[in-house]
Amino acid sequence: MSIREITDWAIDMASGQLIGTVASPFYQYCPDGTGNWVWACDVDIGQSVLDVGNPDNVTIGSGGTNPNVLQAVPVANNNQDIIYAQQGTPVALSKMPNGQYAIVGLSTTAQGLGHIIFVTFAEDIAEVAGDTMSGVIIRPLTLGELGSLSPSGFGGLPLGAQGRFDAYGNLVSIL
Amino acid sequence: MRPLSDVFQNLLYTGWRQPAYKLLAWDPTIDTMSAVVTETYTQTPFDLTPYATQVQWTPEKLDFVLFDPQQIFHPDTGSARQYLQDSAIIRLVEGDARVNEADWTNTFTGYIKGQIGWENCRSKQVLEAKVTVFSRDNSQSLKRRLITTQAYSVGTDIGAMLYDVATRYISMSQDEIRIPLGLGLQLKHQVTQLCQEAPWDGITTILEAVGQVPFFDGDGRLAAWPKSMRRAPNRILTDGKFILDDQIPAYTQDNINYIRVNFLDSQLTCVQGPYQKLGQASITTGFFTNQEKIKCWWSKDHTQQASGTNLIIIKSVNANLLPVGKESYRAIDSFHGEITIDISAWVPVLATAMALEYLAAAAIPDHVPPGQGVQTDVFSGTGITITPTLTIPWGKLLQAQASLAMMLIMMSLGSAQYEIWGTPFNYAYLMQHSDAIESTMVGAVPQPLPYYQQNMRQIENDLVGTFDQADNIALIELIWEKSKSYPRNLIIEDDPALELGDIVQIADGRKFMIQDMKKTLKRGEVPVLEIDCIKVMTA
Repeated sequence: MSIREITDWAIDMASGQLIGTVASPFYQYCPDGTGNWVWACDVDIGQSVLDVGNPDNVTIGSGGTNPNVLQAVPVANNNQDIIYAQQGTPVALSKMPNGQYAIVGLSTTAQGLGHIIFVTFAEDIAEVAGDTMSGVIIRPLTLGELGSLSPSGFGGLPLGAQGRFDAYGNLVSIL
Repeated sequence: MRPLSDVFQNLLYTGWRQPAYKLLAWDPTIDTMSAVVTETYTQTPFDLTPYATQVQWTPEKLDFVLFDPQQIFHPDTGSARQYLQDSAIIRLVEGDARVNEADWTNTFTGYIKGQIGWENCRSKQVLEAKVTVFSRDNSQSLKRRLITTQAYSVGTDIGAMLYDVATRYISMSQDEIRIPLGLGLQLKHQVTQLCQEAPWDGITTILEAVGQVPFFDGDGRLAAWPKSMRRAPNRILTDGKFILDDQIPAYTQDNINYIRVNFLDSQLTCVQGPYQKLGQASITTGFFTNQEKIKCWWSKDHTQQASGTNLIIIKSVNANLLPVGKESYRAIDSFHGEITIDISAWVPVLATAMALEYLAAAAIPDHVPPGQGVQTDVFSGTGITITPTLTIPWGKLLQAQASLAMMLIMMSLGSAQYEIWGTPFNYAYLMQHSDAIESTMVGAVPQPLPYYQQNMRQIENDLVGTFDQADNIALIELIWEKSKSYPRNLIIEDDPALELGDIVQIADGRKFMIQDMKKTLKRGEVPVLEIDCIKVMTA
């Protein structure tokens, strides 16, 4: 590692920019407990899903709190476009001076998928030992899925229900 | 690897060598670096060789001392001071005394920055100038001045982009670039620009996309060395005759074992929101129209898109006494749809007919039973007096019937309410990434390093647009990083052909990639070349 690399990392860490998707309806939130309300929502930043071996991955779909979702992220003031954004909309987050992230705008980019290549090294030989895909896709369930995924058959899930799927299209959880 | 003339190449490893060198200087006010590099200069270069000693060479920097008993290099008064002024161009040419100078090779071309050091020391009895020359890439202007390039369309080879940056913003001619015009990677995005980036960073980014690293070669030309190790060695030192020392230095740092290449997918992806109410409409309609059309947009600014839209009737036009029409919906495009209410044809026809009947019925006289006279003037008593009796108001009956029909139609007039539901969506570029991670095999299954042992380096390169391209970079970088954790040093008799990134193979078959070099030139001695290498990992 060179000084240049370490400096670049420090710059990246300090920049504090993230992208995510709106993961809940917008609600009013009182962050300071004094009755000053701000608009906020939960934002799925999907970071740990992308990392190989991140222990947070196992909690997704197991009914626990999804650690990829930042809770109660406030919206930058007077930003009506954001407040009217819907669940699933990509948003840009920026770190505020107090270290908390805030939604500063709608984003034209969203978290995608990852292709992971496993490389083994032996002496002076490097070998590609396998590969896999990471990441999740969030989309509304199709009519067929609404019928097949609900234990009570068609009608058990409301039209428009969304699901979280892995990179291969397998259902991970229903949102 | 630097090309050598056949004559020089043949003599390099045969017999006793008679190494020789020349240090040449150009006045920058007469000729530019470009002219020197392309051999189109107009002045005769000043030969510093007779004055030079302690010539220390690296690919990035050249240091030497000039004995100056006649004080010709004095920065204020020297007669040859213009050859060592700021931006003066210095070139080191190396060869062999048995070979014609035309067959020698340039091993360094660079600039003097600022002012040279010069000393007239009575106690040490020296009159000398200390000169440091830097390679072309060691210029802050290349690394700090920001540029925004023109837009390059999809399909453009990134080599064309590199040539554009080098020629437009660094004022290089095409002859000063040793990199091929076609680098084999085409832009996938519709429009690509380098925006507010330093020219050298731009060139580095462009070459990073094909796993190469830029540098300026001994001629002063822009060149690049590939990080990929899947290539034949440039130099094979099989007998070890020229290897003076083979060292394995300690490496005590955490090495990078996880590479992530982030890139923006060149294809837009539809990002869907939840199924929800997109718009609503209400209308009052009835007999007075044939058809009503209501346009519904999914946002006030008409920019929101949605799919799978359908009509939900909250209150129908037919919810009153009579079914008066038909309601329908169609999506015009992804931004809006149209609700159509067709009023049944019989409604206005019947209303009109009843109104006409109402008028006509007003003219119908009352019906009197047969045989009875009619009193024509009840006040004057004229006419035939008849026995008072009841008359039948036929006209009024008909008017009442028409009136009731009209009232019924009007009572069926009402306000309808509709909602349009659907799935809103936007298009977004997905931030994709390719990871290459060091793994071990557990049985037949590759097991990546545990999370707490991962040491990741991220590469952001938006010239990459597909997983294939990103995979290639991730693999090359991971193998290169792994190789960096196996540093090897070679000390050999000088080989002027070697350049950064070259691969040298030694007698036992091991291969090393050159990362840095240095040597000191002395008259009458074969220089000792110290090479910092990394062990080549073959994929």
